[in-house]
Amino acid sequence: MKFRPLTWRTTHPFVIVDRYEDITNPETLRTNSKCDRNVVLYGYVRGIPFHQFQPVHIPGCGDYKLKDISFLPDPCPLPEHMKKRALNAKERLTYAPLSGVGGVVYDKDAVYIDLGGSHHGNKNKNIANESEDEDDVFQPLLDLQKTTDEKQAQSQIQLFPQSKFIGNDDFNEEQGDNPEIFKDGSGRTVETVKDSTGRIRRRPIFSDGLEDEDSNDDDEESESDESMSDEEESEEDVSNEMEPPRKKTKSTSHVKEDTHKSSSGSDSEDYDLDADLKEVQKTQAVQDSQIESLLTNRTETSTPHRTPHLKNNSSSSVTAKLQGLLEKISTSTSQQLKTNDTHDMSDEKELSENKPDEDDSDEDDTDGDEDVKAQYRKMMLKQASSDFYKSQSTVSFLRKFIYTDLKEEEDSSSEEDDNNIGGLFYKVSQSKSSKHLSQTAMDEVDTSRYIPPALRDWSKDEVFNSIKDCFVTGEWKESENAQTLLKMDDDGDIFGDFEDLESGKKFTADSAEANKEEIDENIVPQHEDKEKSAKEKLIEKKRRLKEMFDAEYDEKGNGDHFDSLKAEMSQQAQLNRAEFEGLDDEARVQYEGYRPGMYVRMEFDKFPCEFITNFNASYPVIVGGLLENESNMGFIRIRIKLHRWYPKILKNRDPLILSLGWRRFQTLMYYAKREDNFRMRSLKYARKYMHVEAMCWGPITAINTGFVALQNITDRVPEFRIAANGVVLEADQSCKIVKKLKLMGTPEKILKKTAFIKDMFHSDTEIAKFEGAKIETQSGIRGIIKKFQGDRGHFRATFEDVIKMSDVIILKTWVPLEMAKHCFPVRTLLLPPSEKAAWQGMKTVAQVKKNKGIKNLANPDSLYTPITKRREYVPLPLKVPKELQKALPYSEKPKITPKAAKEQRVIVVKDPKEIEMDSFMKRLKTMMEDKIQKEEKEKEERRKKFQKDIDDREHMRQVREKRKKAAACRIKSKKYGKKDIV
Amino acid sequence: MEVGGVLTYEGSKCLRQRLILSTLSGKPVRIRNIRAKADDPGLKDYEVSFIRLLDCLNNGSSIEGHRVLSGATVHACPFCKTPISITLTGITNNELDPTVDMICASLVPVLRRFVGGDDGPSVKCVRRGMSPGGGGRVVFTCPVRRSLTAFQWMDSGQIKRIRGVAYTSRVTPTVANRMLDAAKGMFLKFLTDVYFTVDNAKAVSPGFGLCAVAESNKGTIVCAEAMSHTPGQEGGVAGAAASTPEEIGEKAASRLLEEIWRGGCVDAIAQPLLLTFMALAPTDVSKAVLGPLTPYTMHFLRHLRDFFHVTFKIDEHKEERIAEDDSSLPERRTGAAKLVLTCIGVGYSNIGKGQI
Repeated sequence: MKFRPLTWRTTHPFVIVDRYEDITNPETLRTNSKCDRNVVLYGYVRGIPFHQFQPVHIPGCGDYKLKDISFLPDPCPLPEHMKKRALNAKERLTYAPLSGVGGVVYDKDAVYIDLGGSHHGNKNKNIANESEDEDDVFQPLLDLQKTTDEKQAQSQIQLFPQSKFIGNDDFNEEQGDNPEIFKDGSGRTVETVKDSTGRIRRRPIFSDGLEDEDSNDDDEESESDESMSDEEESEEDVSNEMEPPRKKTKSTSHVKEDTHKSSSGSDSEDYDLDADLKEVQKTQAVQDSQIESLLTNRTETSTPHRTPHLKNNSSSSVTAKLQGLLEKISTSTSQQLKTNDTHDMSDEKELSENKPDEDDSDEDDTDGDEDVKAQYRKMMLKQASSDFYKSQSTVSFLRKFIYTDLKEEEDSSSEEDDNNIGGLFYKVSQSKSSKHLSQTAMDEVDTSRYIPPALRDWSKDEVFNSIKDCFVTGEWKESENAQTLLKMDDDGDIFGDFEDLESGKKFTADSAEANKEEIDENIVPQHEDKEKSAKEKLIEKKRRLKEMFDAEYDEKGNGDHFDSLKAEMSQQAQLNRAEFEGLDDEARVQYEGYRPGMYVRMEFDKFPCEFITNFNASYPVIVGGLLENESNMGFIRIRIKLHRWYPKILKNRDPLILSLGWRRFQTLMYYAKREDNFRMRSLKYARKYMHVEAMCWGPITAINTGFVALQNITDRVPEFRIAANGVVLEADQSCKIVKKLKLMGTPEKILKKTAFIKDMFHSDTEIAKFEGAKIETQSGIRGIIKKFQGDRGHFRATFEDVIKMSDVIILKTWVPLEMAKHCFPVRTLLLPPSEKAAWQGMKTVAQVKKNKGIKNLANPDSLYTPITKRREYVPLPLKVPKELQKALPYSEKPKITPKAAKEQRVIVVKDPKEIEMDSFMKRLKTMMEDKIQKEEKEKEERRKKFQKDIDDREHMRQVREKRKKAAACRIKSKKYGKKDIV
Repeated sequence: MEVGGVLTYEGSKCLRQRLILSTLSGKPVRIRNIRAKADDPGLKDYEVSFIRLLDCLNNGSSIEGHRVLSGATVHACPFCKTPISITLTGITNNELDPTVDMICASLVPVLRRFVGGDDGPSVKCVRRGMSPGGGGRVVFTCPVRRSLTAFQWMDSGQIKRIRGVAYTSRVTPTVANRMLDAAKGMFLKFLTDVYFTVDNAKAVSPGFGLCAVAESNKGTIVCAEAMSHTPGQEGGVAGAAASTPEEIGEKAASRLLEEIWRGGCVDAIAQPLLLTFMALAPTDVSKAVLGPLTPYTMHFLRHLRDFFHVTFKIDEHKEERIAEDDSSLPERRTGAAKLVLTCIGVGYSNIGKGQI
């Protein structure tokens, strides 16, 4: 099986520590043995390159910031000749991490050799055989004839290509302020001034007849330098004192190399990059400020936001003065001269203001007349403007311009301390105007647009021609040039092979002539080959079609997606390797960081003392680099699954120890289930055999990082310890797990489908938040909250049906869980060995209860009760409404059953008189009925007759009327004529 | 500088850079002395609204300020929690900042190149708004990405066509034609494929301008713009002469030519965006050719170092020449000296974009 490298290790650098040193000042250690320590850790970088400013986490210890990181020569380099049967003593390589075997210890700036006591050398002579091997290693060191200082004195160095070699003798000659003038790389004349401490200063000299000014300033500078050097010496002393003595039981001899501090910059034997940079910086400092000023001039939005940097206790030197002038011209303030350590940004006015405060170097200054300064100004500006684009293109300079002045900026924070004299008094270091200027520079308009300040006249030929080739109409790149392309074709096949697709015949360049003849010949035996050629043609056609198809589908892109990805990756990897190949390590580290395989020294301050006191070499120390946002805390959402071998279940809110990335920490886990509508519903327990989501407070970690969770890491336990594992899904700053909440109320008053509900809320504002929310009764009648009613928390609601007074109204809501932000790093590295395996951290609720003997009483409603017998079911009689009955078919209709016979009444026995009476009554009744019938008949006849009478009379009336009308009309028509009647 | 583990800056300059980078890197930032000496210290209202916008986009930011503190949003958006669609209102075109046309023309293609996808980012100007009246409306949409890929963009190609838009607002429509006539006159010396569109908008305030865009055969887009002064404060001085359309057209054209002279794979306003993508790429080498860096970009480089500790390697760009007879061939005349910026990304990943 092929194991892919862990993603975590391919995205994070780390160092497995193989050596550590405690470099705390022994004095502070003596006064307080529990003080925070300064610790140096060593080891090989693994994973990916380690950045200079990368925040780190040390598992079992905590998050730290690197105070310093640097690389050392590999203590155990690979043997150069691989084929060797045996190692002889000289080439013995001992690399035993954390054991101190080997005798020689390299540090950043020193090599320590364990000699085994003060008289070790003498002993060795006596007991020769015993430590023969060691002698072989140390003898060259012991036999040294000259000290490093002497060697340095003899060595020579060339600072610039054209300059002559500078040896130590040169310094002695120059001791008496003999300025040495030579040309630097850019052809600018530079004057070297040597001061008492052997420091070289350089500044440009302009051949514009300003020597007098220079000479005036020379004295000044030397004076200032003297004062400065004193200071620096004292600083150095301090730093030497600070140099922590080695904590070694045996005596150690200390061969210390020169550290190339900036104070002793140029005269070192090892002409390393650092010193070089500083030197160049010195000489180009002035140029820097030119550029700065020019930038501001060009863009009319002066760039630097740096605050003026003041070290007023150091007196103003010539360079500083120059700068002051420049800054008066532009608003910028240059900080370039950190290494020159004397810079005063202020303008001339301010210089004169400051003079009373400064004890020396004042008198000379006052005679700096305005003319000279104006000249300076003009000249500098002129030169700067001509140099601007040129210097931009000198990229090394641009690099420095962008990246170096940042450090100087930091120093401005210390400015207040510098101005402090004797507690009560402050030097007035900045005039108001300059402060104001710097402030305006800081508060400039913030725009990303670049508007060229001056427009060129593009109609001019030279300007026009300068960009002519930017257009397709101009000259093309040679690689893309039509001519070159043609030429390339020429080499190959301009009259090369081509194929006559029609005939399927191939032509080649050299046989073109021959082909002609062939064609002629072919005409003759055409008939013979007719059949054959037809077949061939068909085959050829098919072949061509297949090729076309292949080109379009099967072999498109020359392989599949995976292959092309792989090719891309390998190409990128090659570029990664090749890009910084040529650079030396010092510069490479700046861009790339410390590559894997480098041996680095990492310095930390404020390290807990327990790390030292409880150090256990058998316990690995890992320094893991963190990415940019991984040192922040937040809620992390994870997918987690209980391990199936773990015997217990995980309860919500119980502490769990996670091992995630470099970190190990205890946190409170909140489990949740993602429902279909993406809501995360809180769970009481993590489900068994199933992934659940969970959230906890912890360090923000990249998505898809895996983790392992344990409930306790205490001593050996009989059961399986890994409680769960999972993966990070998201980082968040708010909790998304919700819990169900039901609000209940009762109706106060019911009006048909509207009801007033009480007891659900306390105030109208609460209700206002829930207006329009859905509610329902326990029986499922749905409703909606309309509006609050009064201020007692009553509200009006409408329902889909009439509710009853006995109903309970329920409002279902979800509330986000409030999660405790508990995250405690496991610091096993700092614990004494006895406690290392006994750390528990926060206890679970169950453990706390068990320890304290707390037993919660169960809610009686939640308890199960025995089921009692139900009463019998008596169905009500079925009533079918009449309308429904009508509509039913006959078979379904309820049948009308004959009425039951009347109950027999008591038999009445009548006497004869009664019988007679009865019969008489019967006769009377019959007579009566007959009479009524007759009368009815007569009545009907009468009515008919009367009706007939009425009808006759009506008929007669109508006839009369008709006649009358006719008569009247006749008269009328006679009178008016026929027309008018109508 | 760093005070107590918090990056501390002073002044209102580069405020947006700092806030954006702070948001991206998750590092706290403190900005002091904002306009401390000005008559109205503290933040301006446009800065406040920028912070509000950031706050809306962010998840869990906390802003503290005793004295309470547009384009830069583009940087952070691919790394939001959810895809965004913002409607921004206000001034779309003014003289100081990259206008909406420039953002459309220059920043969006760069963004699209690295964020990409079908739902790619877009900026749509619904309505123009000139200063000082405002009233413009721009809709910006951007998808979310988890990580970027390293890239090498070494060839800017050659300009094949010039496009642009001449916009006017509340002035006579002939102004647009006058502007583009003047601009075209300058471009036609170099190239024949020059085409402008006219947008006669009806914004709140009057104004007119020309945005010219040059496209190369390798996908590089360079744009420049010039527009009329804000009414009432011509050239910053009340009563100064207002510019004529011809002047504006020529100004825009010569600014574009200046941009072409500067060159590089992206133009001046897109430099910081490109550098952001380079710095946030995986831990691989990214390379790009740029023209001379603008002051804003220089600040941005510094800030990138502060927040992400990415140091760019700056080299001179030398054109590859075929060895044969280079002595006889003159250098190609492609304007200013170009720079190659190289860096190794920090391997940034969008931790906010969650997984289901």
